[in-house]
Amino acid sequence: MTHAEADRWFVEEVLPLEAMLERFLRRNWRDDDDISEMRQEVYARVYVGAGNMRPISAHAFVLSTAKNLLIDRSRRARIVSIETYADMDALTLTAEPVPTERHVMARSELRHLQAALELLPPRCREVVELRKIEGLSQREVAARLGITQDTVERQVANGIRALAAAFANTGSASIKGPLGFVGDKGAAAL
Amino acid sequence: MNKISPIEARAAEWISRRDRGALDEAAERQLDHWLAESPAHRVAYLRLNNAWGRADRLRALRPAAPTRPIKSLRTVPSPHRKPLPWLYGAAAAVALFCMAITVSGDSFGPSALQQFSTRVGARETVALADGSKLTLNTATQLRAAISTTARNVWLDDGEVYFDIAHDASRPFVVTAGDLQVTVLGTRFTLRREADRLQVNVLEGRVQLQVPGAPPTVLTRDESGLGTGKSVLVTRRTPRQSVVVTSWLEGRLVFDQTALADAAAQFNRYNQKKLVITDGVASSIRIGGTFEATNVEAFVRLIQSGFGLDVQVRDDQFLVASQRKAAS
Repeated sequence: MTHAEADRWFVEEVLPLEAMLERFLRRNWRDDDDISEMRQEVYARVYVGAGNMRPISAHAFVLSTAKNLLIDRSRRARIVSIETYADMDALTLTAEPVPTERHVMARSELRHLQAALELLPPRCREVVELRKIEGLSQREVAARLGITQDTVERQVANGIRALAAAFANTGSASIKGPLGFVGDKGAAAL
Repeated sequence: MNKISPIEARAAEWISRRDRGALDEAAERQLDHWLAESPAHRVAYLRLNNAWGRADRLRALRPAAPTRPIKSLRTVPSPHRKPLPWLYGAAAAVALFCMAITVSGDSFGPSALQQFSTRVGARETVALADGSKLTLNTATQLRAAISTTARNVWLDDGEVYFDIAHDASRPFVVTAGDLQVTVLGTRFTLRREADRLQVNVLEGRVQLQVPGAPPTVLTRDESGLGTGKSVLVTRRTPRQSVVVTSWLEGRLVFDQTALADAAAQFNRYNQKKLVITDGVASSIRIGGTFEATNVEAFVRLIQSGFGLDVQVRDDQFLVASQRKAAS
């Protein structure tokens, strides 16, 4: 795959699985603090792996990558008990049905976004709302709020991360309708 | 919460910078270089960029501005152009009629409706015909209809702990106003206050349905707050899990809780109400474990511990911060 193809595959096929992936990691790892770092690691491995050959099922590929990561980490952390290994073997990779992840409608996505907005710190929320709801540019947001453009830029950066995290936590991670061939629709990822 | 990842922070900075305006050539090269450095950079960037793009949907929340005429308004088709409105009415009537038959068929089934309720300060455990066990917290009202084909419970008010016997053929459905909770076999608690429904999952999965939206599935250690048409899902820390189930042992657990909130908790369990009369006292933070029905002991404690002024009336304790200086 070219970079552009790999990017698009990642955005359209892998990112919608984020809620499922995080739940899977949480269920099988004791420390919640490690989850986002482990999710990043899974993504990086999946992305590299797909560069060699595009997997038939993103879902199965993500889960088996996550499972391997869990095994690697357990070894390294020396926290392996017999139960841990038994559990690892018992992890059924299809336990999480795909449809629940993808049947997310526009309306519910809006709800998740709203809920995510409400969790932002007040200033950050104000900036994101002006930028995304009112459609103001960063420069206009700065003028409206009487703050510098650099501050706006910083608040937007915070908002971006908070929104991405909220998508994962609220269980909505879908982007667009039923997923078909990678090449046949959607704007370029970057 | 999760640790802050430096890669993620950097990716967010790039996206925000680009969002501010077009990058110049040098910056563009820098970004390309950063992305090529490691797949971890690239995936973090893709993920956040996608989230920020999806946030464009928020545009739908933009209130219509009646003072400013919007050009595109004219292109919206007038409702009068819809053909044969009476046909819709007829179809709706037929649909309603069919529904009525189904509903009444169900409710006249073999199940008998049982009613349960608890007084203020009471806590009771009841067993249902299917083997499920319910513990009702203070001031709770609930109805149950368990038949061979269906398991239905209506939570009218209060808080309940559900330990549901597994039976995949008969989903266990709890209705609380417009909200509905469906499980097959699991442990969870529900607390209803008017239109708000708090769900705390202790084991297994719970499906929460609010009107007009796809159902939300909650798993162990997750809590959902359903209000009207929305659901907010959070993950509980182990400490929060202790707090949400402490009432099963008749205890209230506070951790950096405002006195006003603590008072509201005690007032659920006691006829004699705690009334905090000023803002200073209301915002005092307290922590600890208390017996829910022993409000007198709690009053003595805040009196001696915080030097608060307490006046005892027949049906309430008036708490004020006036004598704080004297303590």
